[in-house]
Amino acid sequence: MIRFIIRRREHPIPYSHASLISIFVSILISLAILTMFGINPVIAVWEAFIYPLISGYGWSGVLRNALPLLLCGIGLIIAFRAGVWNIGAEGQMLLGAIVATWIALYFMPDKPALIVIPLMFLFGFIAGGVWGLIAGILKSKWNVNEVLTTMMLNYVAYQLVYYLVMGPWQDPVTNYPVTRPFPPSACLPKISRTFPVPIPTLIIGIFSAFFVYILLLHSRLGYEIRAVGSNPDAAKAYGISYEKVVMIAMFLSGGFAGLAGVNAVAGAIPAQLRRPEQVSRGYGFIAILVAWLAGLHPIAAILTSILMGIFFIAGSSIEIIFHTGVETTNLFIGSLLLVLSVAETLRHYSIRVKFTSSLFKISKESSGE
Amino acid sequence: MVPQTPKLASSLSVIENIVIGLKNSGIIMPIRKIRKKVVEIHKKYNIIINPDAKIYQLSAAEQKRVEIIKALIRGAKILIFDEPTTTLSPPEKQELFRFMRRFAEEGNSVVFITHKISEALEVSDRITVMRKGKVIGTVSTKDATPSLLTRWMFGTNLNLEISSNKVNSGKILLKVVDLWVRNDAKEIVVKGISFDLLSGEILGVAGVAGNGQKELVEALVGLRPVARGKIFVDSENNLVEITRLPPKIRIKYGISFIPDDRIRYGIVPDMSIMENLLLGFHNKKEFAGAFLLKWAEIKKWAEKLVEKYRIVTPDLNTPAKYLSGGNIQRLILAREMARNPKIIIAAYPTLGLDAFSTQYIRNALVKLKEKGVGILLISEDLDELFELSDRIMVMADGRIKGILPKEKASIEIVGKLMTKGDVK
Repeated sequence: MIRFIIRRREHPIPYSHASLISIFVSILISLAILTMFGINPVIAVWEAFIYPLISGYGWSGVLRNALPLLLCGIGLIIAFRAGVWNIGAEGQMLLGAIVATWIALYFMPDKPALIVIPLMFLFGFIAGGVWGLIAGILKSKWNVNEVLTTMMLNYVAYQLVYYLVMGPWQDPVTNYPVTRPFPPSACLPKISRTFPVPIPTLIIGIFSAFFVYILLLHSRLGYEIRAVGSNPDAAKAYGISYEKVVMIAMFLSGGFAGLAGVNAVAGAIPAQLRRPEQVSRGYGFIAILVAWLAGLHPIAAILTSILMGIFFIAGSSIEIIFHTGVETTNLFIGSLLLVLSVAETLRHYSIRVKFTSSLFKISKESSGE
Repeated sequence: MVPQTPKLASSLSVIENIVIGLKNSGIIMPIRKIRKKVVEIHKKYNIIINPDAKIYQLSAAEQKRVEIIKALIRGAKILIFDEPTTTLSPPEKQELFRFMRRFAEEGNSVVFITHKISEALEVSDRITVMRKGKVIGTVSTKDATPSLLTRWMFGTNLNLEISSNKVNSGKILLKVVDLWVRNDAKEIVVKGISFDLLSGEILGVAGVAGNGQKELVEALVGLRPVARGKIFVDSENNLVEITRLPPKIRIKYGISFIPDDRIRYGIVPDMSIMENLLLGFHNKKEFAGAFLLKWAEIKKWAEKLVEKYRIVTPDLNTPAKYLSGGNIQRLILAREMARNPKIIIAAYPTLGLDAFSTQYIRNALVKLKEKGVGILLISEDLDELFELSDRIMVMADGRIKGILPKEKASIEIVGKLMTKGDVK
């Protein structure tokens, strides 16, 4: 008979080790599943991970996916560090996208790019932030569970975008559920035609990661956020306002997602607002994984968002080459999520397997109280 | 064994909870057989319970009944009750006592652990008093008196190792007027308390735990809203009302807090020692600019505190949760002393500490008092209260039963006041 001995580790395994092992294991699992579908794993590794990464275009795809993930991810890191479980980055992103579209098409369609683009990001941040703040106020004033409210606000945002692209903002020319393309002044400049990564987002993304790092670990506000996140009772007892911290954290968290939303419309080709699932594309949810995988460290989130970007590209490469359908990216990300969840427990507990021949011992233990 | 807080699976039904962990039950749960047994027990002992109700739908008293039935179905001959009455109302308590008597009359045994003298006298045949892990004595209930038990419980041998000089400037630092506070269950548990805390004195608060002390402390430091009444604090010789002000402002007025639940209220376990020392100081100009914290200054200051208060730690970056209880308490003390407080609210400051740390904390409190700080010391340990306090305030059932100067107080008097209303 097999006995499992589970023990709590005195010192948990560090995040970084657990994350690296999880990534490796999840790739192995994904490849094993692909092999079961008759795909040669060696070719799959080449096509998914090596070929795209030795080509410039592959890297531009990685970065185009990584940037929104990074922005949403560092926003979520702020909320998670404050102990607020923001699941609403999708909705907050969409609000940023809506406001950017309004500025680009209706508020200042004829102003120069130097004015329009900064304003889009500024108001995108505020719009996403306000969307997050709604849940933050509900949580701090009436203790309404933020997981539910942020999730519900996602659906509100989805429907809002649907309403706009199928109603008042619909492109009268094509009659598709999209808006008119943005004027050139509202399109984010790309690095080059063959490397179409939006420059403003790239700069904002990297800058934001470092800014949030300083905010969280070296500022007064960050100190309050971390104190509230890890022990709200003590924080309250020594003069930190729980309500204030929760609201600020949710505003900032939503704000960074809002930036990703601006990028999702103004950085798209062509730049326009589309159906919500084509704008947020699940980035808001996968960013939870980015934040978590980074151990809630904003600089590490740069690496983990690039990694998730690679998974996106790897998934779509395999989809195209082996005609596997659109689920391959989800396979990679899903198996990573599963492995990470297991790793989170294994960080704290060690399991030893013991083989014994004594049946008696086991029945005694399992039936005892 | 009937635990103090029920250990039941709250989303399962009563009957399922009874079946869980039953020996030799086979693969299919013997629900039908157990149901019959539950009905038998119901008839025999008059324990009323709906076997199909879910645990979360039951009151505390009903959950206690489930625990009892669980024990009985397993054929218990000895029932151990660990403080079973803390969550019960008086009639429920009487019902429990009737059951205990009935069960014992059938030739079984009951061990009933309680800290309420009246309950022990009411229901038991013999009483054993334990203090600090030792049995002090056993007495047959008919020979026991409340005063004997009080003496046994709290000890008479006061060893005055700490010399405490009386320094009394008589200035009122904290004034509490007719304070009423509710507990988490929204019941009034502090019922019209008024007192003054003077500079240079330790005002001890004696009382059995759960008589409103916790809520009083939380109201004083600003963690719990006040239902009625006022709290004033001295600010440059004027009394300022702070009844509705948040902890942040109260700290500014010089109120320091040494909490009873030190892991929950005293530290942020995942943060480093340095960051824990900074708690409440992070807005001070010495340690923070407009946005950034000045880690270099903070580190220098933290190093000094760690040395001065002899906090034993590998380094300043160790998470506070890895410290021992005594060192955590020193960390809290170091931080609270660094505020240069005028008033210290110390709730059970030596609870669970080793003798060395206890002595250290007590000495520190006395030294502060001699410097003119007013200290409100809440403790269950009468030895400690008599050793340190200048005046002793006795609380029972949310009311003040008396404020005695130390010279006039004796263990007997205080003990009697503590249990007054308990003793019939």
